[in-house]
Amino acid sequence: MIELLIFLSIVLISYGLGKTLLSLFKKDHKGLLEEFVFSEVLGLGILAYSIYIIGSAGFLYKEAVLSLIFLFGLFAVRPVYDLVCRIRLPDMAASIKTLNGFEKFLLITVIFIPSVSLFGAFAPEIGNDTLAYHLYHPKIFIENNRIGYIPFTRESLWPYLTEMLFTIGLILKSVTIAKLFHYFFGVLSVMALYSFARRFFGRKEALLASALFYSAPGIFMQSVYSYVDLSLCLYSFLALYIFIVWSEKAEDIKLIALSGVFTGLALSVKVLGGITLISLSCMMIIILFRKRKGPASFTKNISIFILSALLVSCVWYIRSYIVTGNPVYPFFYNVFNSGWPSDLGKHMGYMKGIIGFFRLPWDLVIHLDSFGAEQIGVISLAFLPAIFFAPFKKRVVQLLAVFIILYAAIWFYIDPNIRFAFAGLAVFYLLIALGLSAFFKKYNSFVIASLLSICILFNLSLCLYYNLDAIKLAGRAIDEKSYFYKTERTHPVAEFVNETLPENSLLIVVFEPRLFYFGRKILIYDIWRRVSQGSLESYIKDNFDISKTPVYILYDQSARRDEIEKLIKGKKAVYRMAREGDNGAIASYAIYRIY
Amino acid sequence: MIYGGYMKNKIVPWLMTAWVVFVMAMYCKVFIIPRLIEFIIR
Repeated sequence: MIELLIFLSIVLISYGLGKTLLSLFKKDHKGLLEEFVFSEVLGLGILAYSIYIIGSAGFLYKEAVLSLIFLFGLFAVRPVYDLVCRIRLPDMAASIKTLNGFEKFLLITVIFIPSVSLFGAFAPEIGNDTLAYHLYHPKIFIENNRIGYIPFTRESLWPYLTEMLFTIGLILKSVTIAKLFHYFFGVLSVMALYSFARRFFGRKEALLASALFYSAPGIFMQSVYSYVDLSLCLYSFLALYIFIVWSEKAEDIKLIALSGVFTGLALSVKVLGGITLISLSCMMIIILFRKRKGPASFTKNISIFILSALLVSCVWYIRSYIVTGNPVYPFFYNVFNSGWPSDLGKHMGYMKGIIGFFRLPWDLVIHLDSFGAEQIGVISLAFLPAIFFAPFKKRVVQLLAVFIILYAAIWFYIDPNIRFAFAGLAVFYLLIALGLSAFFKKYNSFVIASLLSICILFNLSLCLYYNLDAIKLAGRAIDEKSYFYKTERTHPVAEFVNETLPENSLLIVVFEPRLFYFGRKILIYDIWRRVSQGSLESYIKDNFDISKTPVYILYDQSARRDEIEKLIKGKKAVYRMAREGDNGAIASYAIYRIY
Repeated sequence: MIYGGYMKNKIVPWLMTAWVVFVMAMYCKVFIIPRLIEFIIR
């Protein structure tokens, strides 16, 4: 509970901070929700960058972070007070009373999902990438009191904007606070979608779009892990939001600069934020061309948009370039001659080429394993024909359609993993909601409304099912140890390492990427092997005093490595464990002491 | 014209319904049933 209160305080402080900055760009907000979302998201961006600055300077201490939050809190007092004064609960209650039965059902959906997912957010972290780097690297940053390159890692120089927020959670000794940030990005994404649809269409469309998007299993499942895909989704969607507001007149420089700032924040979350940059740049060219703007206006708008995006995000890429000679290390090895050849994205997707692209709505639902196994939900395919009823004569709908086509095309070409396309998914569900709303107005089909309700109810039951263990844990029906045993394969072995191995030991980990729970110095063998020439044996002897440092190897025996086999030959394992994981795969670990 | 409009008003919702039911059936076949069987077996 205390963690929730700390988190809410950070949320309010970020709001106040963001509101102060936002007033420089945009003063006319359509509603309190729009103002809240933009201020909050901008504030979280400033907070994350501030952590990055003090961390890069080597001051990543609890005291420094708390002082920073307290300082920002001073700026936030007035905006937060104004916000509280402007919330009118009786008006909201009266507004809810005017909803019809179906709209009330949608509203319950939008409240039910975050309520259930909150249990998942409070449970211990078990997400794969989270344990591999989203939380593991911030943990090392805190141990080093500095944010910077972690040797023999693939990801530590990636844009880490959201991870800076996770760092706040971890420095306060709370994984839950770190998890709540990503959970909150999910909530904010739904708020942003509602606010957009409410501004340009209507309340019913806004509720329908929010319910459809949030009830997609991929969305609510992601929100319980400390991933970064929902923050990428949010920043990309808000960049599009402001872009569409700008496009009404295509004149306001401040708005296009703000859209650039959000695009830059998306680029600071993940390299794939570049999809938003390219999509919006293409759309801008089309808009300026159709509005017959002169070359001066053309150049000014495009350069301001791209420059503001690059200015906000460049720090991550410059840092990576300085350290490794590659701004997107380890990708594009052929271009920068740094990193290694990557087949990322090549194994994703069910079918390549133009036919594969047009088959996407079908394949994403039916062959979801080929796209990273995240579920976008049956609704996206079942109610796809409703899109043809969307009011495409409206300028905003046309822009949404152009965005989704551009976004999907680039995403499909680069790396068609479902969770990298959540911003596109939000727009896709918005178009379906617009189409369904028009369909219901025209045909008033009770059968279709019932089938839609069944699909949403099915997704709600999935939400409940996927969070069942977390709910049991919260209700103390199971203890944390049982929860871990059921859900996290590395926890028993990490427990052994932390309790048994000397504190100054070096653990060489082979194959297993989930390292967050290990409390010893770690060398990731597979990354080390990619970038090193000599033998592991000589590397250890050259870099560690083996008379004082015990060296162990954690070997996942499902992956055989000849060099490791030689090192452990004739040695007896100090620990051995084999068990069946949730997905049926056998996790088989052994720990050997080699020095 | 009247007959055409009547048919359109009837046919479009039924076509939509047929598509939704078809997709839901496919989803059950490739997603729900295999997982349900796996869940029961384990």
